[in-house]
Amino acid sequence: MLLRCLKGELQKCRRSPVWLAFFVLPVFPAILGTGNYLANSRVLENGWYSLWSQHTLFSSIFFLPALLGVFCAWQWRLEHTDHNWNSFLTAPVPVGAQYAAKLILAAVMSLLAQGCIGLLFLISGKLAGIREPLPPELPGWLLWGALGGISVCSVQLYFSLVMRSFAPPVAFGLAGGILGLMLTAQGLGYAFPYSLLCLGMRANNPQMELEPMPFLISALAYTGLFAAFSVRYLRRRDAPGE
Amino acid sequence: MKLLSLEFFKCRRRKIVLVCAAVLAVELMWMLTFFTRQDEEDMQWGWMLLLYNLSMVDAIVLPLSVATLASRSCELEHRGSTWKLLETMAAPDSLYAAKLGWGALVLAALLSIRTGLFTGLGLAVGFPGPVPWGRLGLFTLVSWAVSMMAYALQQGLSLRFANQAAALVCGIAGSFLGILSMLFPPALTRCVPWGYYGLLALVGMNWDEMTRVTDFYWRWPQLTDIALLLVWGTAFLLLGRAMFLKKEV
Repeated sequence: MLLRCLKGELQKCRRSPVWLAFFVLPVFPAILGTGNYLANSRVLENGWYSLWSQHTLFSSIFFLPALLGVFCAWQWRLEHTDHNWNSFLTAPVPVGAQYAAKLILAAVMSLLAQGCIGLLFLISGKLAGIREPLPPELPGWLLWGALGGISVCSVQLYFSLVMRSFAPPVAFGLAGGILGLMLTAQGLGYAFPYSLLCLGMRANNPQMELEPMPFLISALAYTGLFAAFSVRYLRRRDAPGE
Repeated sequence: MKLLSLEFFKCRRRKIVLVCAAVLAVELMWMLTFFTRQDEEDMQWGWMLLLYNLSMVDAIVLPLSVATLASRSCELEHRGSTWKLLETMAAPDSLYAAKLGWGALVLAALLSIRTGLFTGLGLAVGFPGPVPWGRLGLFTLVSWAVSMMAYALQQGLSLRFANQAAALVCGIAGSFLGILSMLFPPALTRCVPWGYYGLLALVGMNWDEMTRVTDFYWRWPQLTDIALLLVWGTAFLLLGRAMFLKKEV
């Protein structure tokens, strides 16, 4: 059932240029981070680790939450337009499975975005002339970051489902990212979903530390909680009249 | 005038106040966090420090906020398929002007409140020296002018494409390019529409690499930059209007 829903969601994505944003937009924080690194190369002496700190600072705060927000808003926009709620809610599959397909697709996009960031990081490092060996922790940073991204997707999917409008959830995504950084700086990062993205990617974290258990518990709790809110909303609300 | 007042009617349940409040809250939180991290010596720069950082925060926050406001105003027409109805009663260029006028008024209100809020913050924190009312007024005007240029671009996109993802992705890209352009040399920054938040900033910064001491100074926007801002704004306005007028309903 879930596989069928996933196939359906993939078909909805066909010919949509939304994936393009995931390839084009990460280039900006990469340039910004590398520029910052090169401008302050005397102070930033830690090679790949310093470059990563510059890359992630901009991407995890401003760009990733808003970008994931765009994808989530776009996913629900398909249902919000052209009376598609009627077919969505009367499809012979549980709404939970349909929602799960959307969340899985968003999770894949989160992973894809991290892959893109990783690739751009490697290219930037080579262009910046870093000669040290690659940090072995890089796949871990990306995977934990993707996991944090899934929590953000779950929250954004809920907002975009309830608001039925494209722009405000995306703007809240950006606001959430900025708030996430502030809360992380206050030591409250594990309690806020948008901070999980910064924590997972070790943004603004010179020691590159992460406490796996609180992170996993928080990520699972936020993903599960907002997924449950969304499914509850889908079960209780009728298709809106246009 | 009637069309303009109708725009306000249409947006009455669009939670515009909430969006504006969110923008103000983010800017306020950002600046509060920034000020709590400054030491006594840095705080002596007071109003200059405020205006310098505010132009940076504007470059990050306002492009996406402007995109959101423009999208809120234009999306409702796409969703309600109201174009046919509207254009039988009013000329398309008047509709376009009314939407732009709505954006201009909302942004003027938002940015005036923002300036009031930060002036209050400066007084509460006790920045040294008298309140630079003229500079604060000019800063509001500059922020409004740059935001209106971005609004013309966003309105053009939001009206042209029913799918608001295009306009929003442009807004996110604007937020990035806005801050990214602060690292560019001025000649290159002039080619980035969102870079004008930084380019027209009223406060400059000197950083001494040897002593690692930072100092700030007042500066005036250059006439060339103001003229270029007008060129960008006019170009976006004419392009957006032409695309809207050609749109088949």
